[in-house]
Amino acid sequence: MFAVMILQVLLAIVVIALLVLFLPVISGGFALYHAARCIRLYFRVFADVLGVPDPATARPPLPVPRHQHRDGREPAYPHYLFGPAQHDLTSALSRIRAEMRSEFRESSARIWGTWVAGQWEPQTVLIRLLGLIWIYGLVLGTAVGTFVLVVVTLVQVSLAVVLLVVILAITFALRGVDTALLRLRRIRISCPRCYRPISYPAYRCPTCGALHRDIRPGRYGVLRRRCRCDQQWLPTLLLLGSHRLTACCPHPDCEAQLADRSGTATELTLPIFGGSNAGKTRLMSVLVMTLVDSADAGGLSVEFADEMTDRRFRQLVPVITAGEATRRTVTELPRAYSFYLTSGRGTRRLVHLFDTAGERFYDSDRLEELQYLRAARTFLFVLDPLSVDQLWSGLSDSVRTEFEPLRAQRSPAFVFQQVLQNVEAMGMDPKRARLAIAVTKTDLLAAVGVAPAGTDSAAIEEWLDELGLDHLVRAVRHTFGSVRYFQTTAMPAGGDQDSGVPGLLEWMLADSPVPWRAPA
Amino acid sequence: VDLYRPWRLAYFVVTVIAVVTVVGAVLLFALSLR
Repeated sequence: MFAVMILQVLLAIVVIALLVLFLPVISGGFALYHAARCIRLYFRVFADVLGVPDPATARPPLPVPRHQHRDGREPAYPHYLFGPAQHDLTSALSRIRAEMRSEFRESSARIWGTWVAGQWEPQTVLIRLLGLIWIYGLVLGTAVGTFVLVVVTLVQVSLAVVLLVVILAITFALRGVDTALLRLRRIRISCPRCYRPISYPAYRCPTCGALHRDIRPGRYGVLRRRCRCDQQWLPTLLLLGSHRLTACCPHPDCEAQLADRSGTATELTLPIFGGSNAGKTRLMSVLVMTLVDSADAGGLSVEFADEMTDRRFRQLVPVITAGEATRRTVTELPRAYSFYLTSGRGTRRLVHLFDTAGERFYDSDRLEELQYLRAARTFLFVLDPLSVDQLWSGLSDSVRTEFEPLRAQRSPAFVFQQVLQNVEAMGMDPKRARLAIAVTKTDLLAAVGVAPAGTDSAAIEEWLDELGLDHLVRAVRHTFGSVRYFQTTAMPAGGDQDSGVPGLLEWMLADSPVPWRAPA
Repeated sequence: VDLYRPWRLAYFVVTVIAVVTVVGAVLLFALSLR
């Protein structure tokens, strides 16, 4: 009995000695096993979160930002590298940490319960010691695994940062190219309703109508972005086709719809000013009708740039053609009549014609709201000779009674001074601008024998001078860089437009890239 | 349909390649030291 005990003790000592001798090998093996399990766990969880190979396991996308613009958010899904990638990574890491913790607890409890717990007797010493070594290997393996995972995470984060930097570089490069092309083509966009310059239009989603205020490459997409409705990919640049979407003014207090394909052509602003009832709307309509009619005869092609312009002209043309009076222009801030002019060589210009109610020119406070004047380089002043006192007082009573409803309310000199003062106050130098003066209603004057003697600019200027508008004539000559007088009727008799209109049109577009020639 | 699937696949593949490359480089460096 005693001999057996001694034998057992000796055996235990030998085993312990062997264990001590091979401790690094055994514990290292256990540690390697657990480290490998940690890494396997890491990749399994990471693949699950990313939906590899099964997309159903992927983390659901972030909630789509609501339509809030004050905080700069857009109604679109963010680009993967601008949020979702970081969330995937943090989500994977937190799951890995939780699973590693629970696996460590389970493994250690299992090893302890199976191998270590219980009586320490000579015949169980070996098993107990092996259990302890295994737990040691588990701790060591988990530590090694954690260290490897920290390294792997650092690699992953660095990778995400590098990808982000690459995406940002591409983003800025694309924005730069697009801006450079706009500058090169001298394309400046302005709102036809609030008149403010627009650095880049906002666009509406064709499916849900959500307004994307800054669609350019950025955190919501580089080449395209996904609208919050999840039905539509939207191109991020004019270069990439965003001009095919509905463009809007990006200013939150306006959001007016811009011209179709806004940003694809240089804009020409042509303001028409004159007193109330001077014949501005009629003249503008006849100008556009002349352009449209001449298109078939090899002139410029005309294309209405928005639905409003198209609808308004469809209403105006029958009225003008029938020789009826147009409705009074509303006194609200005018929206431009916009149309594209394309020359035979393919040069396109977006023309904004502003027909403003005459009442707006009588009051400086209301006039200074007409900020579109700032962008104009050619102006059209509609002068109603019936509003000139000297001419009016020379007419017989019966003629005056007949013409009274057609007469503009304020003198042309007053309207011109008002506009000039405000244009100068806006910082514009009239010396760099051109002014066409259209003397309207000359068919009425001819009927009563008081029309100008000649139709050329000098004759009209002299005629106005003799009518007592010498101050106006001098002021016009001294303030504007280039001036030309025209006499127009803007009242097509028998369907033929007055010959003054083509001449006026030709002069107004003469220094533009889309010059117009009256068909022979 | 997962909107980010192409990016997630690419990110996973690139990560695996990067990790294998880094671990391989470290092992090669350790072996070269011996």
